[in-house]
Amino acid sequence: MSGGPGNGATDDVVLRVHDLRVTFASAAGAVEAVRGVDLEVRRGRVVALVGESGSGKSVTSLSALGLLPSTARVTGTVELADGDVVHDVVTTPEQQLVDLRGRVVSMVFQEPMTALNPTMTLGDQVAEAVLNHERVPRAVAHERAVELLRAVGVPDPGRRARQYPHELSGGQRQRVVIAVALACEPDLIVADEPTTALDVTVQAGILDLLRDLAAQRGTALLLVTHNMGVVADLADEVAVMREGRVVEHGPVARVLGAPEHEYTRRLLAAVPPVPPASAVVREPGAGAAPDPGPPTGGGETVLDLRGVSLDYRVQGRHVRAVERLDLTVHAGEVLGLVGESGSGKSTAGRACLGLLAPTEGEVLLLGTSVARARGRARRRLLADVGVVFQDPGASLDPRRTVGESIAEPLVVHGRDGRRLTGPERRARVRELLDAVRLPSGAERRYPHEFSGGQRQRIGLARALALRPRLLVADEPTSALDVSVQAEVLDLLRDLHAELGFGCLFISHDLGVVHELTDRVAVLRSGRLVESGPTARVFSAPREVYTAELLASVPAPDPAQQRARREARHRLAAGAVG
Amino acid sequence: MTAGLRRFAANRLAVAGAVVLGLLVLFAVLGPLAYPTDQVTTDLASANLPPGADGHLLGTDALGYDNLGRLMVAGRVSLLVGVLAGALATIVGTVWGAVAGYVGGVVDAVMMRVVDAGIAIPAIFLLLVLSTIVRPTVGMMIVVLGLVSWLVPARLIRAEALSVRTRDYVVAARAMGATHRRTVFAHVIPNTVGTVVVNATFQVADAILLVAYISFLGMGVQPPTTDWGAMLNDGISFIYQGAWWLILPPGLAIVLVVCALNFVGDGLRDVVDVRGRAA
Repeated sequence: MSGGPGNGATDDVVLRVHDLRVTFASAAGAVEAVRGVDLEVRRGRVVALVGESGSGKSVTSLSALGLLPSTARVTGTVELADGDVVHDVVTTPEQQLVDLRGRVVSMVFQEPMTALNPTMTLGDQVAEAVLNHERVPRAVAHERAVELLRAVGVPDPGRRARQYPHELSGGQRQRVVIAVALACEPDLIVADEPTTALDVTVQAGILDLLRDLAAQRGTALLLVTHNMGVVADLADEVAVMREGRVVEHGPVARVLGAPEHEYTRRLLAAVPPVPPASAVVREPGAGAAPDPGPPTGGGETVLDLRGVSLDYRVQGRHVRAVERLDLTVHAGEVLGLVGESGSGKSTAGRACLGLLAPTEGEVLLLGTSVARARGRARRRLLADVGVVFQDPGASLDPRRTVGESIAEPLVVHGRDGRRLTGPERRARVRELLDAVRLPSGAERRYPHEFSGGQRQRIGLARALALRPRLLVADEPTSALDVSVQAEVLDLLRDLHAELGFGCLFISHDLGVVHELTDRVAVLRSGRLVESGPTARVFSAPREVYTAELLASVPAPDPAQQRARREARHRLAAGAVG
Repeated sequence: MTAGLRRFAANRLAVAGAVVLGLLVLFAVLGPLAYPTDQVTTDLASANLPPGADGHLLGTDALGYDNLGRLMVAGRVSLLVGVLAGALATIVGTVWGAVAGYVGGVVDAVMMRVVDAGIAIPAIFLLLVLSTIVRPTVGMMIVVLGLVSWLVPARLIRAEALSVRTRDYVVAARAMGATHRRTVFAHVIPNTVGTVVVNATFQVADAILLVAYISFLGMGVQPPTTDWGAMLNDGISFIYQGAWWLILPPGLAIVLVVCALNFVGDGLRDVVDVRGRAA
């Protein structure tokens, strides 16, 4: 074999990366994505590459499969052990790489929907992976596919094999993607953010599966993630990457427990502390306890949802998204609304903004029904509500300068019943930019010139332009890196303390909710499961679902995470028995 | 926009298109100043002169008009009708499509069925029927052409508006109580501008071609006004006498302007991409 086969591998190293450098040619000049990375992955071990966006972790992982785009210039060696032969992926020609991919190394992607072909049955897709490398009859490949689906924990694999991707949930789809990766029993699986697109309870199941695969089959796993909890749950070793370099590398307990590098310490400090998991549920099955209201006397009620049901129309049929929801937000308090995807939490948020009329019940904003208000009264009502969305890229109009975007509420509503003059508006915009800690001059630039965290702060400035009484924040930090998230949350907390608005904080991240909110409401399939003061709900959940949700959040400490995992397994067993 | 200009400059065909377009406009608008000719009185004594004869650089036509001068005057009509009809079609189509896409539901369904019905009628026949009933003038041609060709941009913009209206910044505008009109004109339409601008260049090219068709069939603007299509029609009778100068110049002008507009449209696609703005 040509293309740089080395001597027979005597150790059990599956992947050895030495002095890897990757440079991308772009219109703005060369961009160095990876600047000298050394890495080793051994049989049956899980090595995690962690870092924030742009740290080069994905590029490093893709280089193990030789899947970098053609604009990349790669130097250094990426040695892959294929039995007794060692291939250097960097110099191996494409035809040989095709043979290696799937058989020696395979890949699990982040987004299970786009990683599967929507027009092929799941069985065919797994069988195809088998047939890529083995000359076996189609029927045999299909039998293997069903076996593989069973091995990755897909229930009723015979039937599922004949179904299409859209018929499965996200978690089940990710299991199929893993089955495809496993088809030819590779020595190494590269998993790039395999659970990022999934809910925490589903993520926990996938992490269990990956852990079992590594332990039982001896498959090595190169795990790319930004989530320290996932690292603690799964990895044996961890390499922390920043700006294309590995800044710290070692056993997971050491790196996460006693980080040596300043950056690792900062990264860990930015992770919001996860509420403790408890395997016990107080008063199990007592039903959603009535909300005791704000702990201290509290201010007036700014938002009041009374028995609100919300429907979505899908192809003419009404689908219930939220069922008789009661919520109140008082002035000066932060209410967390938590739930997994599809729980109806964002739908409820839209109803609070008057974007969706309730089928039943009433949404009262400052004592007035938003759905019934019309014309000028409605506009005046909405002037008291600010909103921040999840995606900082999409929530600002790309064609307007930052100043125009922030000033929009001022243009729409004026202030104190009159229009603002140009200079007044500009002064207010500068004031707001200052409040969200952005330099003056930012108002003349366009959104794409700012980073995600900065854009989210611009969105916050716009939301606060009219000094609203209520702020609806829909997953405002979910698209951000942890260190950036910490900055935005700090800012939100400071502004909240200063301005005293009531805040409905919608999030799936229990750590963030734990850190930020006074009270919390847990939503599942459109129904309120439990609500109360955050400290009480998180330390002593009354409902099994809340306890499960809490136990599913991985903690960034391996020992603690082991305990959480056991708590979760006990809860699951209890729920069955 | 300097970065946008740089990207436009990187597309050589687009630059060539813009240069050709610029030259054609100068030729039609300012040409008669440099090369004055009589385009009102006929001169049958010097009809169908070949190029070069008697000071006529491109010869003369059957009525003795100087052919080069006629090409300039005809260009004014072709370009004017093309640009204004294209602009009219783009404006009507953009607003119609943006409103349909933004409002959605029944309103969208009705508005788009109107578009479907309009597309089902072949524009060229409609124009021919109309011009047999009334004598076409330049102004009328602009309005009629504009009103038959807004349908395609309406469809395109509706599709864009459908995706833009679900973006968070549109939802944010609605949540802050902005009126629907403000939302459509401040957020929806500006964010479809890429499609609008690129399509507008194609609309202009189409309109110029349509004018040429109709005039070529003798149903367009009437003499002594003329356009490139009408010049072709006049010249075709003398093709067997070898009067190539009556056919080639206007034909070439039409081909040049349509090609140039298409190339410019391609170049604009890169320019209006927001991400490169003020980078």
